[in-house]
Amino acid sequence: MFMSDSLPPAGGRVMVSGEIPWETQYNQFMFWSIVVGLIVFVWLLYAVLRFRRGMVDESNLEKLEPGTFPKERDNLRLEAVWVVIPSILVAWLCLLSWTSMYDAWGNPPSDEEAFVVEVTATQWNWAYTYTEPLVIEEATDGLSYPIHVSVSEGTILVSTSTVDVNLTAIWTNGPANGQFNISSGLATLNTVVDMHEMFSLTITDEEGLQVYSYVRYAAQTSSSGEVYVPCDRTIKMTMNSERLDEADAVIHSMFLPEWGMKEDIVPNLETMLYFHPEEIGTYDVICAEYCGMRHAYMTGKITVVANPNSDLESCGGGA
Amino acid sequence: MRRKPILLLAIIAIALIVTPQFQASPGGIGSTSDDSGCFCHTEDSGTEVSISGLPDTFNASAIYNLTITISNSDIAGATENANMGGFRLLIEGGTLDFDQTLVQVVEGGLTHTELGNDYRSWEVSWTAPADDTKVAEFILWGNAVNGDANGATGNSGDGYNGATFQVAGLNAGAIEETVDAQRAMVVLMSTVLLVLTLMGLAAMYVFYSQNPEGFNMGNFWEWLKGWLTTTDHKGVGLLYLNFGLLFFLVGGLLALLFRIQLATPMNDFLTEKEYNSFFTLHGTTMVFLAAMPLISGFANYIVPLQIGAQDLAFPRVNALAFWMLPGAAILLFAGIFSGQTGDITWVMYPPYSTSSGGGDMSANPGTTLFVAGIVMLGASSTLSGVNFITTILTMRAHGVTWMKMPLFSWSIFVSMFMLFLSLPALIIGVLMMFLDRTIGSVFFATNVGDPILYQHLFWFFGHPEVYVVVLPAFGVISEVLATSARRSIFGYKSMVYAMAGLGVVAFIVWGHHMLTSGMDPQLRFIMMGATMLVAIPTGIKVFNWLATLWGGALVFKTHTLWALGFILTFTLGGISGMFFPVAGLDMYFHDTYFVVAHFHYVFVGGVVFGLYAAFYYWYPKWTGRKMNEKLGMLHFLISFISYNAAFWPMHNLGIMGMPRRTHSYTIESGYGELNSSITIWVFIFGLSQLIMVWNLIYSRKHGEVAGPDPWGGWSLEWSTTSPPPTPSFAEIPIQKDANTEAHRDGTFMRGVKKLWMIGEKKEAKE
Ligand code: HEM
Ligand SMILES: [Cu+2]
Ligand SMILES: [Cu+2]
Repeated sequence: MFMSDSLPPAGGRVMVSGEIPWETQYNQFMFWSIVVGLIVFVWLLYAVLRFRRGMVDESNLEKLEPGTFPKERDNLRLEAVWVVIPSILVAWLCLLSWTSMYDAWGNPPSDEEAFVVEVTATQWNWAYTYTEPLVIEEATDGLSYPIHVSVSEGTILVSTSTVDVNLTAIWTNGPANGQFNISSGLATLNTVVDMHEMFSLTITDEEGLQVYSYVRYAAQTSSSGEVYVPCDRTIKMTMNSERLDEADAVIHSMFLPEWGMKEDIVPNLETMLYFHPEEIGTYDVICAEYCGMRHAYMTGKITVVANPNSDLESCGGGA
Repeated sequence: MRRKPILLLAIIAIALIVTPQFQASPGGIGSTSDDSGCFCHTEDSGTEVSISGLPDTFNASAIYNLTITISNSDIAGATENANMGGFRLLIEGGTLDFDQTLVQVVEGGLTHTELGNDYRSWEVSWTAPADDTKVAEFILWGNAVNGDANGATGNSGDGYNGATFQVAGLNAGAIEETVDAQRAMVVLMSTVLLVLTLMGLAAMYVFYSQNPEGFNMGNFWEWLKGWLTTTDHKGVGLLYLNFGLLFFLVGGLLALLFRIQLATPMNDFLTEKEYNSFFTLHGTTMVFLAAMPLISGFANYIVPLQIGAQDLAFPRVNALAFWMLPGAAILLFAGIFSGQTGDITWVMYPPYSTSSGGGDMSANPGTTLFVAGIVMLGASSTLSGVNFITTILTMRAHGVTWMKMPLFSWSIFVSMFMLFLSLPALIIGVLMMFLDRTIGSVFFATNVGDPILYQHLFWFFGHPEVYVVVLPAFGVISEVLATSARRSIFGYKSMVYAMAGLGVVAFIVWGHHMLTSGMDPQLRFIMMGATMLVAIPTGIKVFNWLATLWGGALVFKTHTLWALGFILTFTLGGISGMFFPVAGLDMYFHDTYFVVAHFHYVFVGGVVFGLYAAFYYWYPKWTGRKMNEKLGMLHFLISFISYNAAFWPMHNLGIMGMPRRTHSYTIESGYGELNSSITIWVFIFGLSQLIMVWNLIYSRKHGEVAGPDPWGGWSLEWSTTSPPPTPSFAEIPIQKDANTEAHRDGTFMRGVKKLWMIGEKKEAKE
């Protein structure tokens, strides 16, 4: 746009679990704020209390007479002090903010390394599209035998390490659904699976208790305003604003308060946000750029789900 | 008396009230703002329109077959399949399905096609809304035509009529009686007339109270005419001040209204559209109709007196600049009476602000007038800019050299210069927006134009603008503190350089408002660094004020208190401003309540407190009487405490993540407690302003009589009588100088010379 196109309009940062991402920097700035504030307020208070009329000899003061420019008063050394010291402080603060700039805007991850989610903001909704499928597997706590599920276009395959249990699998895939038994530790079902639709499968034991669930989010749109992303991976949100009905597309801003970041979503310009969640949980999405009538209610949720490949315990990985 | 212009204005006003606003729509349907259609024909109560097949209550998503029928026994249609009638149907709730050969959608409503013109009844099928707690509404207009549009009588002889039908959902409550909305223009004009009448009565009372015995209408008219036609800088200045104060109260009232809305979670005191337009009007009013006119008012009254000029360079241009403001105010507020004023925030970002035709998704129709109002404000400010720059450049009295000019005049000079340089960017941006809205140009259109271009244009103006309003406050504080400490200001020359420095730096930092806007990140880097620089000249000013107090003999008058309060709150506002240029922090704080807290600390705690100090300080100059000190102290105490109690917690809300410009918030968010307490304190703050208003009125007659120089100030305005004569000096005064050296270098020059001398000494040694 203005200068070079080498850097895309982006923002992001790594979130470390249990930490407010902007806290360190906030504390650094807070520290200097308090220092400067204290200097000014103590000085002000002292001057106001100490130098009141009747407490000083007024004959030493410059006379003010209507129509006469009074005797000037200045002091080279003093004034140099409050030019030089604030300049040093400003330089230091610049340096402090410099580092965060590269975290924030410097190195957007490539599409290959990141988990890419396309965000479409409309008035007043969030919609998400995955470019790679997201698989969430969850086994009940204390399950004594591992279960493995794999899905491809023509087959659903379930295997366990034990032959002693009798399990039931219930699956849905778009409008299709079905059910089958796993009796000898292995079951293969040959059926057409639409890989562009969401696929989910739950396995229950003989008592009907759920022991395992498998959800595969495919390249599909979720317009419920909710999105699932894997833990301990760099998530890259590429964001666009779209029009709805007769209205024009307008500017929104994706604000993820828990991760301390936001970036505007501008019609006709793809912007992005990237982050690296390190804790499972549900987080807020808020629109932070005024976008019309129901702007205040344009909110949603991001759910970070377990990532078995992660080494982090907070991400559901085995440590 | 100039009867002609007045007559003309009256005719225009009446014409605006009575003429229908005609808009052409595609498909040849005429429509007024309320979409009644068919203005090419005449209204006729003999025409009956009906919809059969409507249920008493609808079931969610059920399908109903409807027949639209119009009838008029007096108007026979043409024979042989030629034109017989037409209709227009607007629905709220549900969707329609129909035979496309006979019926079509035009501009969001249903109407007949060319072929469909040959009937007087049409069939459509209606799918009821999925939500059966709603009430669906059908607005139908039908026109019985005689089919001789090309014949002798043209379109006359046709008759149209309309009706509204409502169908409640199965689970809807009772249908509320809706009151027919008045035509917007009627409401607007009536309100303007009402306001004018009230203002006329108020003026009459003011005149009456000055001399109850000598009152008669003739005198009053002469007196009023004097005010309406004055070009004297003092008269125009007082007009500006009254105008600014009035709109300060209006803007405050709007703030109180939307603070009620925010007091509790999920409140519905205001609708979303109301909330959005109220905070838009609040921001725009406070900045453009309150702060700027108040500053212009002081500048008008005081600057010519301070520099020893008899008037401004262009007195008539000055009056013109003022009289554009009421016009602009009417445009800005035009939509509010019909609930359709601009809801585009004070920064007016397109594409939302250029959007139209999308119903609730688009900006209110009043936005067009709102934007026109901004253009008018820009014109007014440009004129003032030219005027003040010229005046200060050319009309300083003997002795008032650049480096001997009072700091308030300096602040006005720098501020007007900045305004003059930055305004073109705003006007261009806003005009392009106006064209996008009206003639369909595509400067900011989302498929070809660039909405971010507008943001650059706006903030290239917007950031200097915040200095335009705060520099005069700096000027006031410099005057007030020096006078109150009974000595000269510390570091006069560095004060001047600091202001000029701010004036330059302020032009290269606009991007800090756009750090998350999708702007090129390299540009973000530059804006970040430049922004931090602003702290240096600002720091110089604060420390110089503190050094002025040091060793002085401070007298506590009301204006002194405001000035001391200013140092406190402005410093806080300045400090919180340092958090925004930091990438890592701005990504979080941008557009949260932290921003709202910050800019109210500099706007209210800076600009408004500075202006309050100015009111108490210069009031004796224009009335000859001091304001009541007791009331003044009370005003200061209540305002200062309630102000901090109200606005400080907004920082906390920002840290908690509450976004700004939100109509409401959930209970779980936990914002409720702070917001309720803010609202209570804001009401106390708002009410305490009435103390000052009362003080201004009361002291005009009952204040302590003040001589020419009640506070012991030095600048030229204190050497003339209070109030000053017209023209303001009988004879151009000469400013004397207490400094004995013919020319004394300032700190800056001495610093440069010192450095220079180090070089020379070195050379000499070698
Ligand atoms: C009576 C005292 C005031 C109160 C209670 C008040 C309150 C508020 C609040 C709560 C907002 C945020 C609205 C939102 O984001 O939803 C706001 C916005 C604003 N206020 Fe004030 N304010 C006051 C005085 C002023 C003054 C004196 C100025 C300027 C000289 C000012 C300028 C603004 C501006 C520019 C906005 C932004 C509007 C926008 O977002 O488009 N306010 N005010
Ligand atoms: Cu929004
Ligand atoms: Cu700025």
